[in-house]
Amino acid sequence: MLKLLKLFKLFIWNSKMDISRSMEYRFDFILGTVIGLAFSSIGPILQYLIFTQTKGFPGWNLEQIILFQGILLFTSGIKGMIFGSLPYFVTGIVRKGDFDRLLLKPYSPIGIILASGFRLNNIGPLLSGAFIMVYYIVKMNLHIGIVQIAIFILAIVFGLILFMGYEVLYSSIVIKLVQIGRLDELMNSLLRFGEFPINIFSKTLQTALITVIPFAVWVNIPANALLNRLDYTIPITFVFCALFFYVSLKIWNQFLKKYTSAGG
Amino acid sequence: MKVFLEVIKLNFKISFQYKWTFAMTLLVQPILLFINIALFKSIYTYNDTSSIKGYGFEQMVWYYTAYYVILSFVWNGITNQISRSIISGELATDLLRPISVFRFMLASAISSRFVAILVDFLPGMIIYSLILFPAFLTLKSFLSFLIIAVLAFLLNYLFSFLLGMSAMIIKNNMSISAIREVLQAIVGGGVIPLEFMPVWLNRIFDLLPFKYIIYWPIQFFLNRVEGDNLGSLVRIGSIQILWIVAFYVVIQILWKRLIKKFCAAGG
Repeated sequence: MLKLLKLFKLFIWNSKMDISRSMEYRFDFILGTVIGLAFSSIGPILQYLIFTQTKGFPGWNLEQIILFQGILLFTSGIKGMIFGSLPYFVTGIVRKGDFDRLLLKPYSPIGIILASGFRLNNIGPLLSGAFIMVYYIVKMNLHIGIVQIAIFILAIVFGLILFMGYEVLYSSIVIKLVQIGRLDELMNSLLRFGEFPINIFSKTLQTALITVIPFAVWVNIPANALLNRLDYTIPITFVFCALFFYVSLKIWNQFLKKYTSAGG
Repeated sequence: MKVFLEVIKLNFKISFQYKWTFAMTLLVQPILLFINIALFKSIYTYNDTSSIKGYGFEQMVWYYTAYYVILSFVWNGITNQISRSIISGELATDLLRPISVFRFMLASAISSRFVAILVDFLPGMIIYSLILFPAFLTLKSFLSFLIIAVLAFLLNYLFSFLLGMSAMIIKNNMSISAIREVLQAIVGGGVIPLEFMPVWLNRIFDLLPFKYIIYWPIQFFLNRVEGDNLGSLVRIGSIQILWIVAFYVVIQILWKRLIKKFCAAGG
Protein backbone atom coordinates (compact mmCIF):
# COMPACT_ATOMS: atom_id res chain seq x y z
CA MET A 1 0.00 0.00 0.00
CA LEU A 2 2.85 2.34 0.93
CA LYS A 3 4.55 1.53 -2.36
CA LEU A 4 1.36 2.34 -4.25
CA LEU A 5 1.17 5.68 -2.46
CA LYS A 6 4.78 6.43 -3.36
CA LEU A 7 4.10 5.50 -6.98
CA PHE A 8 1.13 7.87 -6.92
CA LYS A 9 3.43 10.63 -5.64
CA LEU A 10 5.82 9.78 -8.49
CA PHE A 11 2.91 10.07 -10.93
CA ILE A 12 2.05 13.53 -9.53
CA TRP A 13 5.68 14.61 -9.81
CA ASN A 14 5.90 13.34 -13.42
CA SER A 15 2.65 15.15 -14.21
CA LYS A 16 4.05 18.44 -12.91
CA MET A 17 7.14 17.91 -15.07
CA ASP A 18 4.98 17.32 -18.14
CA ILE A 19 3.01 20.50 -17.44
CA SER A 20 6.27 22.45 -17.14
CA ARG A 21 7.52 20.95 -20.40
CA SER A 22 4.25 21.84 -22.14
CA MET A 23 4.62 25.43 -20.95
CA GLU A 24 8.08 25.65 -22.53
CA TYR A 25 6.39 25.67 -25.94
CA ARG A 26 3.28 27.52 -24.81
CA PHE A 27 2.06 28.52 -28.27
CA ASP A 28 2.37 24.96 -29.47
CA PHE A 29 0.55 23.69 -26.38
CA ILE A 30 -2.40 26.11 -26.72
CA LEU A 31 -2.68 25.43 -30.43
CA GLY A 32 -2.36 21.69 -29.75
CA THR A 33 -5.21 21.83 -27.23
CA VAL A 34 -7.44 23.72 -29.66
CA ILE A 35 -6.61 21.17 -32.35
CA GLY A 36 -7.30 18.37 -29.89
CA LEU A 37 -10.75 19.86 -29.36
CA ALA A 38 -11.28 20.14 -33.12
CA PHE A 39 -10.01 16.62 -33.74
CA SER A 40 -12.25 15.21 -31.05
CA SER A 41 -15.27 16.69 -32.84
CA ILE A 42 -14.67 14.37 -35.81
CA GLY A 43 -16.36 11.37 -34.20
CA PRO A 44 -19.63 13.15 -33.29
CA ILE A 45 -19.69 14.90 -36.71
CA LEU A 46 -19.17 11.56 -38.44
CA GLN A 47 -22.03 9.95 -36.54
CA TYR A 48 -24.23 13.02 -37.12
CA LEU A 49 -23.63 12.77 -40.88
CA ILE A 50 -24.31 9.02 -40.92
CA PHE A 51 -27.46 9.31 -38.84
CA THR A 52 -28.92 12.32 -40.67
CA GLN A 53 -28.41 10.75 -44.08
CA THR A 54 -29.22 7.13 -43.28
CA LYS A 55 -31.25 5.36 -40.61
CA GLY A 56 -28.00 4.72 -38.73
CA PHE A 57 -27.57 1.37 -37.06
CA PRO A 58 -29.93 -0.73 -34.95
CA GLY A 59 -30.62 0.09 -31.31
CA TRP A 60 -29.35 3.66 -31.42
CA ASN A 61 -30.89 6.98 -32.43
CA LEU A 62 -28.96 10.15 -33.22
CA GLU A 63 -29.01 11.61 -29.69
CA GLN A 64 -27.98 8.32 -28.11
CA ILE A 65 -25.09 7.84 -30.51
CA ILE A 66 -23.81 11.40 -29.93
CA LEU A 67 -23.95 10.69 -26.18
CA PHE A 68 -22.00 7.49 -26.94
CA GLN A 69 -19.41 9.60 -28.79
CA GLY A 70 -19.24 12.05 -25.89
CA ILE A 71 -18.49 9.20 -23.49
CA LEU A 72 -15.91 7.83 -25.95
CA LEU A 73 -14.14 11.21 -25.98
CA PHE A 74 -14.38 11.56 -22.22
CA THR A 75 -12.92 8.13 -21.46
CA SER A 76 -10.29 8.48 -24.21
CA GLY A 77 -9.34 11.84 -22.69
CA ILE A 78 -8.92 10.32 -19.22
CA LYS A 79 -6.87 7.42 -20.60
CA GLY A 80 -4.83 9.80 -22.77
CA MET A 81 -4.09 12.18 -19.92
CA ILE A 82 -3.01 9.47 -17.47
CA PHE A 83 -1.19 7.13 -19.85
CA GLY A 84 -0.75 9.11 -23.10
CA SER A 85 3.06 9.42 -22.88
CA LEU A 86 3.60 5.82 -21.83
CA PRO A 87 4.24 4.29 -25.29
CA TYR A 88 6.88 6.94 -26.12
CA PHE A 89 8.40 6.69 -22.64
CA VAL A 90 8.76 2.91 -22.55
CA THR A 91 9.95 2.67 -26.16
CA GLY A 92 12.50 5.45 -25.56
CA ILE A 93 14.02 3.98 -22.38
CA VAL A 94 14.19 0.45 -23.75
CA ARG A 95 15.86 1.51 -27.01
CA LYS A 96 18.37 3.78 -25.28
CA GLY A 97 19.17 1.20 -22.62
CA ASP A 98 17.81 3.43 -19.83
CA PHE A 99 15.36 0.70 -18.84
CA ASP A 100 18.26 -1.07 -17.08
CA ARG A 101 18.43 1.80 -14.59
CA LEU A 102 14.77 1.27 -13.70
CA LEU A 103 15.63 -2.27 -12.59
CA LEU A 104 17.93 -0.82 -9.92
CA LYS A 105 15.28 1.41 -8.36
CA PRO A 106 13.42 0.44 -5.16
CA TYR A 107 10.05 0.25 -6.98
CA SER A 108 8.65 -2.20 -9.47
CA PRO A 109 9.77 -1.14 -12.99
CA ILE A 110 6.25 -1.51 -14.36
CA GLY A 111 4.99 0.72 -11.53
CA ILE A 112 7.44 3.43 -12.57
CA ILE A 113 6.44 3.02 -16.23
CA LEU A 114 2.73 3.30 -15.41
CA ALA A 115 3.44 6.39 -13.30
CA SER A 116 5.24 8.10 -16.22
CA GLY A 117 2.41 8.37 -18.72
CA PHE A 118 0.81 11.75 -17.93
CA ARG A 119 0.18 13.89 -21.00
CA LEU A 120 -1.49 17.26 -20.64
CA ASN A 121 -2.06 17.58 -24.40
CA ASN A 122 -4.95 15.11 -24.15
CA ILE A 123 -7.06 17.52 -22.14
CA GLY A 124 -8.92 18.54 -25.35
CA PRO A 125 -10.93 15.31 -25.83
CA LEU A 126 -11.60 15.13 -22.08
CA LEU A 127 -13.16 18.60 -22.01
CA SER A 128 -15.14 18.22 -25.23
CA GLY A 129 -16.32 14.75 -24.16
CA ALA A 130 -17.48 16.04 -20.77
CA PHE A 131 -19.32 18.91 -22.48
CA ILE A 132 -21.08 16.67 -25.03
CA MET A 133 -21.98 14.16 -22.34
CA VAL A 134 -23.52 16.72 -19.95
CA TYR A 135 -25.26 18.55 -22.80
CA TYR A 136 -26.93 15.41 -24.12
CA ILE A 137 -27.85 14.13 -20.65
CA VAL A 138 -29.76 17.39 -20.14
CA LYS A 139 -31.12 17.49 -23.69
CA MET A 140 -32.38 13.91 -23.56
CA ASN A 141 -33.79 14.52 -20.10
CA LEU A 142 -32.20 11.32 -18.80
CA HIS A 143 -33.17 10.27 -15.30
CA ILE A 144 -29.94 9.25 -13.67
CA GLY A 145 -30.05 7.75 -10.19
CA ILE A 146 -27.42 6.57 -7.71
CA VAL A 147 -27.16 3.12 -9.35
CA GLN A 148 -26.50 4.60 -12.79
CA ILE A 149 -23.86 6.98 -11.41
CA ALA A 150 -22.21 4.17 -9.42
CA ILE A 151 -22.03 1.90 -12.48
CA PHE A 152 -20.75 4.77 -14.61
CA ILE A 153 -17.94 5.50 -12.11
CA LEU A 154 -17.14 1.80 -11.68
CA ALA A 155 -16.96 1.41 -15.46
CA ILE A 156 -14.46 4.30 -15.62
CA VAL A 157 -12.36 2.77 -12.82
CA PHE A 158 -12.40 -0.76 -14.30
CA GLY A 159 -11.83 0.75 -17.73
CA LEU A 160 -8.63 2.33 -16.39
CA ILE A 161 -7.59 -1.00 -14.83
CA LEU A 162 -8.15 -2.69 -18.18
CA PHE A 163 -6.21 0.03 -19.98
CA MET A 164 -3.35 -0.36 -17.50
CA GLY A 165 -3.34 -4.05 -18.35
CA TYR A 166 -3.23 -3.15 -22.02
CA GLU A 167 -0.29 -0.80 -21.45
CA VAL A 168 1.49 -3.48 -19.40
CA LEU A 169 1.10 -5.86 -22.37
CA TYR A 170 2.42 -3.16 -24.69
CA SER A 171 5.44 -2.62 -22.42
CA SER A 172 6.02 -6.39 -22.29
CA ILE A 173 6.13 -6.58 -26.09
CA VAL A 174 8.50 -3.58 -26.23
CA ILE A 175 11.03 -5.12 -23.80
CA LYS A 176 10.83 -8.37 -25.76
CA LEU A 177 11.14 -6.98 -29.30
CA VAL A 178 12.99 -3.70 -28.51
CA GLN A 179 13.13 -2.21 -32.02
CA ILE A 180 9.75 -2.35 -33.70
CA GLY A 181 8.06 0.76 -35.02
CA ARG A 182 4.33 1.51 -35.18
CA LEU A 183 3.54 -1.07 -32.50
CA ASP A 184 1.37 1.58 -30.83
CA GLU A 185 -0.59 1.91 -34.09
CA LEU A 186 -1.26 -1.83 -34.11
CA MET A 187 -2.30 -1.81 -30.46
CA ASN A 188 -4.53 1.25 -31.00
CA SER A 189 -6.28 -0.41 -33.94
CA LEU A 190 -7.29 -3.27 -31.65
CA LEU A 191 -8.71 -0.75 -29.18
CA ARG A 192 -11.10 0.45 -31.90
CA PHE A 193 -13.29 -2.60 -31.25
CA GLY A 194 -14.32 -0.78 -28.09
CA GLU A 195 -15.26 2.41 -29.91
CA PHE A 196 -18.50 1.15 -31.50
CA PRO A 197 -21.77 -0.13 -30.04
CA ILE A 198 -21.08 -3.83 -29.59
CA ASN A 199 -24.40 -4.83 -31.18
CA ILE A 200 -22.93 -4.14 -34.66
CA PHE A 201 -20.60 -7.12 -34.21
CA SER A 202 -21.36 -10.83 -34.48
CA LYS A 203 -22.69 -12.66 -31.39
CA THR A 204 -19.32 -14.36 -30.81
CA LEU A 205 -17.45 -11.07 -30.92
CA GLN A 206 -20.05 -9.44 -28.66
CA THR A 207 -19.44 -12.16 -26.07
CA ALA A 208 -15.68 -11.70 -26.39
CA LEU A 209 -16.01 -7.94 -25.92
CA ILE A 210 -17.71 -8.37 -22.55
CA THR A 211 -15.50 -11.23 -21.34
CA VAL A 212 -12.00 -12.18 -22.54
CA ILE A 213 -11.32 -8.83 -24.26
CA PRO A 214 -13.69 -6.68 -22.17
CA PHE A 215 -13.38 -3.50 -24.27
CA ALA A 216 -17.13 -2.88 -23.77
CA VAL A 217 -16.20 -1.41 -20.38
CA TRP A 218 -14.81 1.78 -21.94
CA VAL A 219 -17.86 3.18 -23.72
CA ASN A 220 -20.66 0.64 -24.05
CA ILE A 221 -21.18 0.07 -20.31
CA PRO A 222 -21.01 3.77 -19.28
CA ALA A 223 -23.37 4.65 -22.17
CA ASN A 224 -25.78 1.86 -21.26
CA ALA A 225 -25.63 2.95 -17.60
CA LEU A 226 -26.65 6.52 -18.50
CA LEU A 227 -29.35 5.22 -20.88
CA ASN A 228 -30.60 2.91 -18.14
CA ARG A 229 -29.93 -0.25 -20.14
CA LEU A 230 -28.42 -2.24 -17.29
CA ASP A 231 -28.00 -6.00 -17.46
CA TYR A 232 -26.36 -8.91 -15.66
CA THR A 233 -23.23 -8.91 -17.88
CA ILE A 234 -21.83 -5.71 -16.33
CA PRO A 235 -20.28 -7.29 -13.19
CA ILE A 236 -18.92 -10.12 -15.37
CA THR A 237 -17.14 -7.54 -17.53
CA PHE A 238 -15.69 -5.83 -14.44
CA VAL A 239 -14.29 -9.17 -13.21
CA PHE A 240 -12.71 -9.83 -16.61
CA CYS A 241 -11.10 -6.35 -16.55
CA ALA A 242 -9.37 -7.17 -13.27
CA LEU A 243 -8.41 -10.59 -14.65
CA PHE A 244 -6.97 -9.00 -17.80
CA PHE A 245 -4.77 -6.74 -15.66
CA TYR A 246 -3.64 -9.68 -13.52
CA VAL A 247 -2.75 -11.81 -16.55
CA SER A 248 -0.90 -8.93 -18.21
CA LEU A 249 1.21 -8.49 -15.05
CA LYS A 250 2.04 -12.21 -15.13
CA ILE A 251 3.10 -11.88 -18.76
CA TRP A 252 5.20 -8.81 -17.89
CA ASN A 253 6.99 -10.73 -15.12
CA GLN A 254 7.73 -13.61 -17.50
CA PHE A 255 9.09 -11.26 -20.16
CA LEU A 256 11.11 -9.32 -17.59
CA LYS A 257 12.86 -12.50 -16.47
CA LYS A 258 14.03 -13.02 -20.05
CA TYR A 259 14.97 -9.38 -20.61
CA THR A 260 18.51 -9.13 -21.98
CA SER A 261 18.92 -5.34 -22.31
CA ALA A 262 19.08 -3.41 -25.60
CA GLY A 263 22.70 -4.49 -26.10
CA GLY A 264 21.78 -8.21 -26.07
CA MET B 1 20.20 15.15 -60.99
CA LYS B 2 22.92 12.57 -60.32
CA VAL B 3 23.22 13.71 -56.68
CA PHE B 4 19.43 13.61 -56.37
CA LEU B 5 19.28 10.01 -57.63
CA GLU B 6 22.15 9.01 -55.34
CA VAL B 7 20.26 10.47 -52.36
CA ILE B 8 17.17 8.48 -53.37
CA LYS B 9 19.24 5.29 -53.52
CA LEU B 10 20.90 6.01 -50.18
CA ASN B 11 17.62 6.82 -48.45
CA PHE B 12 15.99 3.75 -49.98
CA LYS B 13 18.63 1.60 -48.27
CA ILE B 14 18.06 3.42 -44.97
CA SER B 15 14.25 3.21 -45.22
CA PHE B 16 14.41 -0.48 -46.16
CA GLN B 17 16.10 -1.18 -42.82
CA TYR B 18 12.76 -0.23 -41.27
CA LYS B 19 10.73 -2.48 -43.60
CA TRP B 20 8.89 -4.14 -40.69
CA THR B 21 7.78 -0.74 -39.46
CA PHE B 22 6.27 -0.08 -42.89
CA ALA B 23 4.79 -3.56 -43.01
CA MET B 24 2.97 -2.98 -39.71
CA THR B 25 0.11 -1.63 -41.85
CA LEU B 26 -0.44 -5.22 -43.03
CA LEU B 27 -1.41 -6.13 -39.46
CA VAL B 28 -3.30 -2.92 -38.68
CA GLN B 29 -5.42 -2.73 -41.83
CA PRO B 30 -7.08 -6.18 -41.66
CA ILE B 31 -8.25 -5.30 -38.11
CA LEU B 32 -9.76 -2.02 -39.32
CA LEU B 33 -11.17 -3.79 -42.37
CA PHE B 34 -13.00 -6.29 -40.14
CA ILE B 35 -14.38 -3.46 -37.98
CA ASN B 36 -15.57 -1.54 -41.06
CA ILE B 37 -17.14 -4.66 -42.56
CA ALA B 38 -19.11 -5.19 -39.32
CA LEU B 39 -20.07 -1.50 -39.09
CA PHE B 40 -21.24 -1.07 -42.67
CA LYS B 41 -22.89 -4.48 -42.88
CA SER B 42 -24.95 -3.36 -39.90
CA ILE B 43 -25.77 0.01 -41.52
CA TYR B 44 -26.58 -1.39 -45.00
CA THR B 45 -28.72 -4.18 -43.54
CA TYR B 46 -30.58 -1.86 -41.17
CA ASN B 47 -31.21 0.63 -43.99
CA ASP B 48 -32.19 -2.22 -46.31
CA THR B 49 -30.24 -0.73 -49.22
CA SER B 50 -27.41 -1.72 -51.54
CA SER B 51 -26.15 1.82 -52.06
CA ILE B 52 -25.58 4.80 -49.76
CA LYS B 53 -24.63 8.10 -51.40
CA GLY B 54 -23.71 6.13 -54.52
CA TYR B 55 -21.35 3.79 -52.68
CA GLY B 56 -22.01 0.07 -52.77
CA PHE B 57 -21.10 -1.98 -49.69
CA GLU B 58 -17.66 -3.03 -51.03
CA GLN B 59 -16.85 0.50 -52.15
CA MET B 60 -17.85 1.97 -48.79
CA VAL B 61 -15.70 -0.51 -46.83
CA TRP B 62 -12.84 -0.11 -49.28
CA TYR B 63 -13.13 3.70 -49.05
CA TYR B 64 -11.49 3.53 -45.62
CA THR B 65 -8.92 0.98 -46.73
CA ALA B 66 -8.21 3.08 -49.81
CA TYR B 67 -7.38 5.98 -47.51
CA TYR B 68 -4.45 3.93 -46.16
CA VAL B 69 -3.60 2.73 -49.65
CA ILE B 70 -3.30 6.40 -50.68
CA LEU B 71 -1.09 7.11 -47.67
CA SER B 72 1.38 4.50 -48.98
CA PHE B 73 1.79 6.82 -51.94
CA VAL B 74 1.50 10.30 -50.47
CA TRP B 75 2.55 10.20 -46.80
CA ASN B 76 5.64 12.07 -45.61
CA GLY B 77 6.91 13.35 -42.27
CA ILE B 78 8.54 16.48 -43.71
CA THR B 79 6.63 19.02 -41.59
CA ASN B 80 7.96 17.56 -38.34
CA GLN B 81 11.30 16.65 -39.87
CA ILE B 82 12.08 20.30 -40.61
CA SER B 83 11.08 21.25 -37.07
CA ARG B 84 13.25 18.53 -35.55
CA SER B 85 16.27 19.50 -37.64
CA ILE B 86 15.89 23.13 -36.56
CA ILE B 87 15.53 22.28 -32.85
CA SER B 88 18.46 19.84 -32.94
CA GLY B 89 20.60 22.22 -35.01
CA GLU B 90 20.96 19.69 -37.86
CA LEU B 91 19.55 22.12 -40.39
CA ALA B 92 22.84 24.07 -40.24
CA THR B 93 24.73 21.02 -41.54
CA ASP B 94 21.92 20.18 -44.00
CA LEU B 95 22.48 23.59 -45.58
CA LEU B 96 26.11 22.67 -46.31
CA ARG B 97 25.19 19.61 -48.41
CA PRO B 98 25.81 19.68 -52.18
CA ILE B 99 22.05 19.45 -52.65
CA SER B 100 19.36 21.84 -51.44
CA VAL B 101 17.29 20.98 -48.35
CA PHE B 102 14.17 20.94 -50.53
CA ARG B 103 15.61 18.42 -52.99
CA PHE B 104 17.27 16.34 -50.26
CA MET B 105 14.00 15.93 -48.39
CA LEU B 106 12.14 15.25 -51.64
CA ALA B 107 14.58 12.44 -52.42
CA SER B 108 14.09 11.09 -48.90
CA ALA B 109 10.30 11.20 -49.29
CA ILE B 110 10.44 9.46 -52.69
CA SER B 111 12.61 6.62 -51.40
CA SER B 112 10.41 6.09 -48.34
CA ARG B 113 7.35 5.82 -50.63
CA PHE B 114 9.15 3.25 -52.80
CA VAL B 115 9.66 1.12 -49.69
CA ALA B 116 6.05 1.69 -48.57
CA ILE B 117 4.76 0.58 -51.97
CA LEU B 118 6.97 -2.54 -51.93
CA VAL B 119 6.31 -3.76 -48.39
CA ASP B 120 3.00 -2.10 -47.59
CA PHE B 121 0.89 -1.42 -50.68
CA LEU B 122 1.62 -4.49 -52.85
CA PRO B 123 1.24 -7.25 -50.21
CA GLY B 124 -1.54 -5.20 -48.60
CA MET B 125 -3.63 -5.24 -51.77
CA ILE B 126 -3.40 -9.03 -51.89
CA ILE B 127 -4.31 -9.48 -48.20
CA TYR B 128 -7.19 -6.97 -48.22
CA SER B 129 -8.53 -8.41 -51.47
CA LEU B 130 -8.68 -11.85 -49.87
CA ILE B 131 -10.79 -10.41 -47.05
CA LEU B 132 -13.10 -8.37 -49.29
CA PHE B 133 -12.54 -8.58 -53.03
CA PRO B 134 -12.51 -5.15 -54.75
CA ALA B 135 -14.81 -6.13 -57.63
CA PHE B 136 -15.07 -2.46 -58.67
CA LEU B 137 -11.38 -2.22 -59.61
CA THR B 138 -10.43 -2.24 -63.31
CA LEU B 139 -7.07 -1.88 -65.02
CA LYS B 140 -8.16 1.50 -66.40
CA SER B 141 -9.25 2.84 -63.00
CA PHE B 142 -6.08 1.52 -61.38
CA LEU B 143 -3.81 3.17 -63.95
CA SER B 144 -5.73 6.45 -63.59
CA PHE B 145 -5.33 6.13 -59.83
CA LEU B 146 -1.56 5.69 -60.17
CA ILE B 147 -1.24 8.94 -62.16
CA ILE B 148 -3.40 10.91 -59.72
CA ALA B 149 -1.58 9.33 -56.74
CA VAL B 150 1.85 10.38 -58.04
CA LEU B 151 0.64 13.96 -58.48
CA ALA B 152 -0.97 13.79 -55.03
CA PHE B 153 2.40 12.73 -53.62
CA LEU B 154 4.10 15.80 -55.10
CA LEU B 155 1.29 18.07 -53.93
CA ASN B 156 1.42 16.65 -50.41
CA TYR B 157 5.20 16.95 -50.30
CA LEU B 158 5.11 20.62 -51.27
CA PHE B 159 2.28 21.35 -48.84
CA SER B 160 4.15 19.57 -46.02
CA PHE B 161 7.35 21.44 -46.82
CA LEU B 162 5.52 24.76 -46.80
CA LEU B 163 4.00 23.99 -43.39
CA GLY B 164 7.35 22.70 -42.17
CA MET B 165 8.90 26.09 -42.90
CA SER B 166 6.76 27.49 -40.07
CA ALA B 167 9.35 25.91 -37.74
CA MET B 168 11.77 28.65 -38.75
CA ILE B 169 9.52 31.02 -36.80
CA ILE B 170 7.90 28.92 -34.03
CA LYS B 171 10.55 26.13 -33.82
CA ASN B 172 8.22 23.38 -32.58
CA ASN B 173 5.46 22.99 -35.18
CA MET B 174 3.77 19.82 -33.92
CA SER B 175 0.48 21.68 -33.58
CA ILE B 176 0.59 22.97 -37.16
CA SER B 177 1.27 19.46 -38.31
CA ALA B 178 -1.76 18.32 -36.30
CA ILE B 179 -3.91 21.02 -37.96
CA ARG B 180 -2.95 19.55 -41.32
CA GLU B 181 -3.96 16.09 -40.12
CA VAL B 182 -7.36 17.36 -38.95
CA LEU B 183 -7.97 19.16 -42.24
CA GLN B 184 -6.76 16.21 -44.26
CA ALA B 185 -9.09 13.94 -42.30
CA ILE B 186 -12.18 16.13 -42.62
CA VAL B 187 -11.73 18.32 -45.69
CA GLY B 188 -9.73 15.73 -47.62
CA GLY B 189 -12.35 13.05 -47.07
CA GLY B 190 -10.19 10.83 -44.86
CA VAL B 191 -12.87 10.13 -42.24
CA ILE B 192 -16.01 10.04 -44.34
CA PRO B 193 -16.83 10.27 -48.06
CA LEU B 194 -17.35 13.95 -48.90
CA GLU B 195 -20.74 13.10 -50.44
CA PHE B 196 -22.04 13.04 -46.85
CA MET B 197 -21.14 16.73 -46.46
CA PRO B 198 -23.51 19.52 -47.59
CA VAL B 199 -23.11 20.65 -51.22
CA TRP B 200 -22.14 24.23 -50.25
CA LEU B 201 -19.35 22.87 -48.04
CA ASN B 202 -18.11 20.69 -50.86
CA ARG B 203 -17.92 23.77 -53.09
CA ILE B 204 -15.60 25.37 -50.50
CA PHE B 205 -13.53 22.18 -50.24
CA ASP B 206 -13.10 22.32 -54.03
CA LEU B 207 -11.07 25.49 -53.54
CA LEU B 208 -8.64 23.85 -51.09
CA PRO B 209 -5.81 21.39 -51.89
CA PHE B 210 -6.84 18.58 -49.49
CA LYS B 211 -9.35 16.95 -51.82
CA TYR B 212 -6.67 16.52 -54.44
CA ILE B 213 -4.38 14.69 -52.00
CA ILE B 214 -6.87 12.21 -50.55
CA TYR B 215 -10.41 12.29 -51.93
CA TRP B 216 -9.75 12.26 -55.66
CA PRO B 217 -7.12 9.50 -55.60
CA ILE B 218 -9.65 7.42 -53.61
CA GLN B 219 -12.35 8.15 -56.20
CA PHE B 220 -10.13 6.95 -59.04
CA PHE B 221 -9.14 3.90 -56.99
CA LEU B 222 -12.80 3.04 -56.31
CA ASN B 223 -13.61 3.56 -59.99
CA ARG B 224 -16.23 6.13 -59.05
CA VAL B 225 -15.28 8.89 -61.49
CA GLU B 226 -18.38 9.89 -63.38
CA GLY B 227 -18.46 10.55 -67.10
CA ASP B 228 -15.44 10.29 -69.34
CA ASN B 229 -12.57 8.83 -67.31
CA LEU B 230 -9.88 10.48 -69.46
CA GLY B 231 -11.61 13.88 -69.24
CA SER B 232 -11.82 13.60 -65.44
CA LEU B 233 -8.22 12.46 -65.27
CA VAL B 234 -7.06 15.50 -67.24
CA ARG B 235 -9.27 17.88 -65.21
CA ILE B 236 -8.23 16.63 -61.77
CA GLY B 237 -4.60 16.19 -62.85
CA SER B 238 -4.52 19.78 -64.14
CA ILE B 239 -5.85 21.17 -60.87
CA GLN B 240 -3.25 19.15 -58.97
CA ILE B 241 -0.50 20.53 -61.23
CA LEU B 242 -1.78 24.08 -60.66
CA TRP B 243 -1.57 23.57 -56.89
CA ILE B 244 1.91 22.04 -57.25
CA VAL B 245 3.17 25.06 -59.23
CA ALA B 246 1.55 27.52 -56.80
CA PHE B 247 3.08 25.84 -53.72
CA TYR B 248 6.48 25.56 -55.40
CA VAL B 249 6.57 29.28 -56.19
CA VAL B 250 5.48 30.25 -52.65
CA ILE B 251 8.11 27.92 -51.12
CA GLN B 252 10.89 29.39 -53.25
CA ILE B 253 9.95 32.96 -52.28
CA LEU B 254 9.46 32.24 -48.58
CA TRP B 255 12.53 30.02 -48.22
CA LYS B 256 14.83 32.77 -49.54
CA ARG B 257 13.38 35.23 -47.04
CA LEU B 258 13.30 32.92 -44.03
CA ILE B 259 16.74 31.39 -44.53
CA LYS B 260 18.30 34.88 -44.32
CA LYS B 261 16.83 35.23 -40.81
CA PHE B 262 17.59 31.64 -39.79
CA CYS B 263 19.85 31.37 -36.75
CA ALA B 264 21.08 27.82 -36.00
CA ALA B 265 21.15 26.45 -32.47
CA GLY B 266 24.30 27.84 -30.89
CA GLY B 267 24.09 31.16 -32.72
